[in-house]
Amino acid sequence: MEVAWLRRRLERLGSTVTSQVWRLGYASRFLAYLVMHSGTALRRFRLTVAEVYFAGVLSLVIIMVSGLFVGMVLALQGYETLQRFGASESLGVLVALSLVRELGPVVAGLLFASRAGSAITAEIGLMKATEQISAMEMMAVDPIARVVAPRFWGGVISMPLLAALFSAAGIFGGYLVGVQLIGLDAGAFW
Amino acid sequence: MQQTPMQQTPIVEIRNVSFGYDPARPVLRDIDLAIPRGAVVGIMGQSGCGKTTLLRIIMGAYLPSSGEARVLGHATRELDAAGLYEMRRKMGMLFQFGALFTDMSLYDNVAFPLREHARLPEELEHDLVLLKLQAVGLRGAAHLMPTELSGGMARRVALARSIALDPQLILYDEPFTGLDPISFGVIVRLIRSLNDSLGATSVIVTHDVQEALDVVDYVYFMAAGRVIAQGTPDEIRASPEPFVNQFVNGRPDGPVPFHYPAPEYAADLEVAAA
Repeated sequence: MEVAWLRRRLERLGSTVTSQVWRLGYASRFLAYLVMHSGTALRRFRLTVAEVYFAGVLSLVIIMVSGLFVGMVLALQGYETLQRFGASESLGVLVALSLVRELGPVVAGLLFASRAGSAITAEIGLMKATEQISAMEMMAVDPIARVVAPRFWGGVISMPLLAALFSAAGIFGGYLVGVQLIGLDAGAFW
Repeated sequence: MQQTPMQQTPIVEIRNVSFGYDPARPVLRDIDLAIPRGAVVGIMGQSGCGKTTLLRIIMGAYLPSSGEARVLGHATRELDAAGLYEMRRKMGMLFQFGALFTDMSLYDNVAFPLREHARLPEELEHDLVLLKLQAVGLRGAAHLMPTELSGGMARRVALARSIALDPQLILYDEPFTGLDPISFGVIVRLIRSLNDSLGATSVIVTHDVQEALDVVDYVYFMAAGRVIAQGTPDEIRASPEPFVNQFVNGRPDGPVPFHYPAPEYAADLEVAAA
């Protein structure tokens, strides 16, 4: 009785672990295949540029607005604490460093995944469901090279730029609160 | 174009092919068929009898579990990915609902295979695309997007796209599903005329028997993963095989029973005991 119970638990643990490892392997092989078959995306760079537009440019609004408000909140809360110690002049450094080092890339990445990532997933899912992917394979066109690779490289190019813009918008938001609203010296920022 | 399959080297040759996703439950069993050059051949049968799977074997998407599939002179089993793609460049396929790329105009859809495989000067590409669209009667719609089309038009554009590279073999997966009578007539006529004008060979997988029998030269009839009858359309219409007879004439009861297997009706209603 005890042995059978233990055995079931062990089997379940084992199958969970192997399926996770299998998935990890699958994703890694997919990535490796994708990178190896990126020739089309790089040779016909217009395909990738179009994806930079869809993934990057169209994400600008949400990235900039979120960045602006994150910066404003950071400045407001940071000021509350800093001014107790008479260090309110460090507000600019606080906002800039925490955005550039930490919050900018992380929050921009999350926003990018939720906006551009989900749009790409839906797009490719629709192509799969309406047999567009099969049609491509039948026309002797590799869908990973033609569909996935340009989107991947479009993301690789636009993501760092979006993170930088997020931080820039955040620092500007911090400036608005710190200098314009609270009235600190602008030298704390520039 | 009335030919029996034995007269010349066939373009598709399926020998003793069996296939199953799960070896215990084969979808195809010992299929033997040959498709001669230039013919329009129908593969007919009920939904779920393995027609589409057979089509996928022909296009090399699946490999037979046993037996051999020779397509355009290659055994699909011996081809690597590059060889398979090379073979598919000589094939066109019309999917059930067209499978047009929804983010491109009709022009770009038809130009897609040309752009991917043939580096043509823009003018030549333009002429070729219009030529293909003209063949299906939609040259004037070149600038539209696929979402603006009716089902019949979408399938005509998909047909123009599948013949863009002048294929030797054109595969049709249920080309008649969900079409109004006019579109239906157009597609039937196009299948025949394109096949003959391109000098291609066509394989039509369908269960729209009456209409398909008017256009094909030879029919393979499938049931439960086997070819149970074959012949010219006239032979099929006159077939003594009860299943073929039921299917061709659309009778509700016969070898395929109207009733799903169930216990005695009276017993189910609990009136037998009374």
